Amino acid sequence: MTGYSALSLARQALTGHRSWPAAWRAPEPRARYQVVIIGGGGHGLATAYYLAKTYGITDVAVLEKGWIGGGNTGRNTAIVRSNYLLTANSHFYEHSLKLWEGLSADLNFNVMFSQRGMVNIAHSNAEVSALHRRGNAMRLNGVDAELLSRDDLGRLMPGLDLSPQARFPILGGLIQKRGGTARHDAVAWGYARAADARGVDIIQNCEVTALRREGDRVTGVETTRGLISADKVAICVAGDSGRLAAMAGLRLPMESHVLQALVSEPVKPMLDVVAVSGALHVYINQSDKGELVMGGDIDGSNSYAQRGDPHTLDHVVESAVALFPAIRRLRMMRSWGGTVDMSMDGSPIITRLPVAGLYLNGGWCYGGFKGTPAAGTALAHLVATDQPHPVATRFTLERFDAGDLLDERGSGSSPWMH
Amino acid sequence: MSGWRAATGGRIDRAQPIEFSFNGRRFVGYEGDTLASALIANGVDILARSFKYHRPRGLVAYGADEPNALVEVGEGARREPNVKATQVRLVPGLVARSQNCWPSVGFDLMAVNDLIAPLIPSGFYYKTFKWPVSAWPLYEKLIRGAAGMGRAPAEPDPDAYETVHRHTHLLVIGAGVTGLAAAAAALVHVESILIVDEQEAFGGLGTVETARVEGQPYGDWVAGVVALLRTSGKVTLLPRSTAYGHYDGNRVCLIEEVSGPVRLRRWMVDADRIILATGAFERPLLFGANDRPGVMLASAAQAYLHRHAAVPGRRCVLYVNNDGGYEAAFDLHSAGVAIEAIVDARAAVDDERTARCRAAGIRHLPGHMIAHSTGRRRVTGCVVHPVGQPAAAMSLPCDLILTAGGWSPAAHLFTHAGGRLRHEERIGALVPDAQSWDGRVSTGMAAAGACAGLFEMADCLASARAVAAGNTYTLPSGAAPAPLAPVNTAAKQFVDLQNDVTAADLGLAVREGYRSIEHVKRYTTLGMGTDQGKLVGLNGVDLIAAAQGKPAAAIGNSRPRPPFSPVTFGAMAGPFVGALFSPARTTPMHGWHEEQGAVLANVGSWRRPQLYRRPGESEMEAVIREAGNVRRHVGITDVSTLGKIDLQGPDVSRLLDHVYINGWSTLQPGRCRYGVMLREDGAVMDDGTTTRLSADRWFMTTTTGNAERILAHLERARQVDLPDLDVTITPVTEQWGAMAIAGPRARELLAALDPDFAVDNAALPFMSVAEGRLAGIEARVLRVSFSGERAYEIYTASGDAHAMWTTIAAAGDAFGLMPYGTEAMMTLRIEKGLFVPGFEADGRTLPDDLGLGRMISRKKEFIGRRSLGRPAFTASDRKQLVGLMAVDRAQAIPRGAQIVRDPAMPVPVPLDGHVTSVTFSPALDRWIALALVAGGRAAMGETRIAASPLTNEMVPVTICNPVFIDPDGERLRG
Amino acid sequence: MRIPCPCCGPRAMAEFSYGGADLSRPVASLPLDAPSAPDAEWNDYVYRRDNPAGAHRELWFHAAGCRRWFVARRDTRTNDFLSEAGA
Repeated sequence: MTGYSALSLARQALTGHRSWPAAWRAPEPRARYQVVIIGGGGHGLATAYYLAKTYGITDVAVLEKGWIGGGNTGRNTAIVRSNYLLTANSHFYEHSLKLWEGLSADLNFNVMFSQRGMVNIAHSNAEVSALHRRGNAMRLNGVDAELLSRDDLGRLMPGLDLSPQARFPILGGLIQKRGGTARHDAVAWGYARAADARGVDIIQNCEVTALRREGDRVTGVETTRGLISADKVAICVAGDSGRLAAMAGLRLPMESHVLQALVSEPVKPMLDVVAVSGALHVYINQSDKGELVMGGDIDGSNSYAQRGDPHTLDHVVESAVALFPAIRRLRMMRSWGGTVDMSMDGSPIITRLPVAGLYLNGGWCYGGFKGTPAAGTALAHLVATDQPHPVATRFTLERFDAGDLLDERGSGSSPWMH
Repeated sequence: MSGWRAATGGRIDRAQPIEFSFNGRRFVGYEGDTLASALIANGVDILARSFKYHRPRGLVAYGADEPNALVEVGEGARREPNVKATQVRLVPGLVARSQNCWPSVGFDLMAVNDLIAPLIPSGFYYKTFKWPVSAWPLYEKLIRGAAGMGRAPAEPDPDAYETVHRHTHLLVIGAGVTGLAAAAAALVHVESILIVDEQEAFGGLGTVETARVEGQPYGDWVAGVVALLRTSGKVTLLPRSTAYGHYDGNRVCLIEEVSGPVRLRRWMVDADRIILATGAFERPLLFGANDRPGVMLASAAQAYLHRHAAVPGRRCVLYVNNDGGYEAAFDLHSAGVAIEAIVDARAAVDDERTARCRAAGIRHLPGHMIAHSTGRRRVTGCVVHPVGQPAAAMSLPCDLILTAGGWSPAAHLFTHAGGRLRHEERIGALVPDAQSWDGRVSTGMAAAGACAGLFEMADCLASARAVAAGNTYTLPSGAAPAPLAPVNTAAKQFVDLQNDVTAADLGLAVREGYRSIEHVKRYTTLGMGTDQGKLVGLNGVDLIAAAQGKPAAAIGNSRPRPPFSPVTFGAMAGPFVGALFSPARTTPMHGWHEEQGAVLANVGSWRRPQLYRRPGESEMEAVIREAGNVRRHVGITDVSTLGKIDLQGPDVSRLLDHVYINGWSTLQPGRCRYGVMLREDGAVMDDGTTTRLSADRWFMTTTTGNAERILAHLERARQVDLPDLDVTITPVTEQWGAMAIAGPRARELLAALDPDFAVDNAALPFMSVAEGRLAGIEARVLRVSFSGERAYEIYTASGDAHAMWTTIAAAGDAFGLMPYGTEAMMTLRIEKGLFVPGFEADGRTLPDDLGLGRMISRKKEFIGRRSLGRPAFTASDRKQLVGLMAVDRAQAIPRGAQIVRDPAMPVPVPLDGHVTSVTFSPALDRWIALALVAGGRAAMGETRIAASPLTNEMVPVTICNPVFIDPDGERLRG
Repeated sequence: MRIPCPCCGPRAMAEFSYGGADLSRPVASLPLDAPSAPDAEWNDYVYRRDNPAGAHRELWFHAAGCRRWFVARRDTRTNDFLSEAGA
């Protein structure tokens, strides 16, 4: 692997950048691997990388039906944070955040992790109390959190409408300074390049059409590029988890829904933090390129369409305008949708399945992108050792029937309300 | 300074000059100009600097495909960045300026980036800035400052926007020849037609204005069809309107530019059928330094000439690879432009064009290509050679290079809702695939004309009429072969002018393994600018394909997503801004509260009084006074916001049995009962009182925030779970105003209101109802309490509620009556240990967690019952509702505190629970709290720490019974 | 998108709220007198879903209209409503 650095860039500049090697190979699939990972998104690629790096398991193929990073990895709003209320989620996402902090160096690929600060805005006394509760839980769990006054919010976000006459006046906020954003595509590419360098085969345009099993043990996968045998198969296809699980005869505690997002035309820096208003159902940040990146809630009915209703985006924009009235004259440049796994309690699932050798990583709801490094380490650990990673012991399938739920929002088994 | 205004022609009104300013200089254009055409006519070359390298840029295109000429328009609160000069109608006093350059567009210091271009190819930022880690924020700050384009607006937009909804049987998008012909053909069998076009005038772009349509001059044909449509009574014609998105169910969103009090009107159109007649964008041909001001699309030059008499140069080279492009040169030639040469990449050109060149005295160079342009701030010439023979190069002087590389169908809308494009060899372009909609029920559109890849007038008309009749149009055979794009190896061939992506960048991306067009796009940012890559598509595909040695058809396309053109946020938000963003609901007594100077706050969708502060009082003092007065005398509070549901029928008790955890069949008429509802997963959803008014009339109240949700829940229980029940459910929240009077003297007050029913404790005991006249007003009085005091909820028709309230307020003086707000209400209910959904019942809480275990009926099935036995739901260490008192009674308990045993432990500290509600209790004269604490009921009297590291408070607290006052309910029942 | 209400005909989606998959609520079989761990049928009803990519039987509530709950079949890949059936 040719190292990436300012020096190598300068050296290549002398020869017109003619001799950069491919960031990853394009191998033909072999007939057999020790581990097959279904899904070449950030999670699948990260799993492959940590299997190779941490556990020395390099006989691994990542199978991607389209192009790597083309699912939710490339469709999210790129927010990274660990400001969770429930302890199990807090520990997991904090583990993830710590990995993010060293990721560019670890992968030798700049994923542009920008710890610009993640701000939650409260519009009522009840919401202020809820932020206190969450912030105190974060601090006691070892996660950074600080309260923000209205003046603090005004300093951080000069365009924010702090008027007491606002329809939903702003009373205060909470900041996680270590939270921020990353360049989403770069995460897939960086993991792919680093995994490839350790011997992992990344196979694109290879769709899994069936799971092969003998008795209660998985033996491989049938794909559009032929049969591939494997001792272990890990499913990392959030959005499509239900479809893959159905191939193993399983019904999962989740539904697929469409989550939309949009960006504005690029403008000069105007928003230096990630801003979230729970009451207004909107999150907004500004990309390094200058686009305002916004999202809100899922559309709210089961969907695999990767596109949604225009009303959802209208609501996102109405809310964003309520927070930042001056952006009303900016324009939406692009919008898109991704299919997310909405689990029945709003928290992820990283687990062995009832078929031996078969593993599942899914149910990410809104949290998949920020969870990428930790999901990779946790699933790699599970696949390599058959034991749950210490930060992911609660992310089982059994928790639902047992009542050991991780309902971060408290909205129950109605995924469309999470 | 090369552009000029032709003395005649154009659809401008020379009698109406318009003054405007650009970059601080004053210019004059005419009515009918766009900013772009006026700047051309005034000889302005450099309108902008490019995004990355800050190279000087001029106009390339005529419409939405313009990549370069992004300007800032307007001033103050109406300043708008990133506007395409091609889309700005010239109005008197227009102020526009260049953006993203410093100190000026003519001399931009950021152009240093162009010198270091070799160091910053596509994706360079992924390879560097990684070390040291601590320096990335600094690098990022520099990158962010350099990126962006225009300045964001800084003031709230003063303009108004609106949204309208429309159903139409047929929507025709695009009113060029094809769209007009389709609409006219559909008139005979379609009841309602909406036809939209981006341009001010129907008829399409100006390329065909010299042509004849069905034997008539183009202008006459257009005018005839427009008149036919206009007089038909069936057609809405919508100029200046852009269809920006097609959504499932055949909804199309349009933005109409309007003048007057509304700036933009957004149309949400539901169409039974859609015809896409959006035409095509001309494809530029690439060569070195193809980005210099003076390089333009041939069709754009034609449009500027025909529409505005604006001529972008005096000496022109046309670079072409198809027959159609020649017309631009001939048109310009007729207007007085010297045509230096026509450079045709094809070796074989038909005789007609050769002859016309000869007749016009134009130098004709078939089999040639442009290697690169020359010049600095404007094209001064180009280097041309025979295809494949760079050694035979010659220089041609010119100030304008027009390129005509064939056409790309403007099929963007076709893909938004799932349509697919296919590569058509005949035209070397992507066209809509009509089979996309096979199997679709309510979504689909038919493409016609140039948008369907048909570039001959006869084909456009025939396809328009075919799709209007619901048929498909098949092209007669013998069509011309696909145009050729010659291979050029020159440096600085810009494929994406706006994002400064060059052919070399695409090659680099492919070499580095980014092979999918989506990877190349994301790695290089190809086509991701505000022009949404309208000029990029085919050139990008061809170069990516060539770099991989594959045919273009194997590369596919990057799926266009909405919007087709950027959409102003204001138009999306429409009127739903300011006070109309989620309009607030107010109660019948709202005016009284305002008169009293109540502090109002949002509760759900309502505005409610939080407290009534007296002069000199702090907010906390007011709350203590109001709550204390309820305990000592009597208070009145507005509870009109409670959800209210009328239930009628013989089976109501069976419905209630199904939705509440407790039993209802034994409730007698005239009595109320408190009930708790669960979700099917067992968590507490809501609570409230339901009253049996008579054998088959019931009245339910819900918490304020859950009113809509509970209505849906009840209807679902009735219609889906228990369809055989005879129950009618009616939401009556808005029909009733309501107020509660609470306190030891509440009964005296009630009696003083001249009720025509008995109010003594025997006649109207706790949890009973009376209906009759009170203070002369029809009222329903529920003896229920949310404070722990003797209390009555008085319901009247909404229209009577204000009168009832003021009557009570006047009568109450004698009894020490004071109004109290939601804050005092909270204090009172915390003192009484009453839970509230959202605080104690937070969606994770089970009935037993709240101490409601004994309320659960063991005799019936109800929603959520079968979930309650899950192993973790019955664990003894579940978080249970308890009270907390600070050990030091002078100390406050922090809001949102977590309950821990030892806050000094290293993180992560095990969390035992959390404070759900906290208040200063006037009854106990100390701070108290409700909390959910693991195994709390078995820990009465134990000490924990209420930890709030956020506020640096660690307060020792004692766990106690959550009912702080009157645990036996004597005050309540007395 | 418009949703076919069996009462009111096709109406704008904004008038409706979603009720999830159309599942038949299991008949109560557990003893009433004491909580016990739910059976597999109940657990499936509360938590597990077919979640098909294709035709999906689901519940809609015409909240801002006739307040009818009804079952619709919708293709989750295209949002086409395939047929309608009253609940």
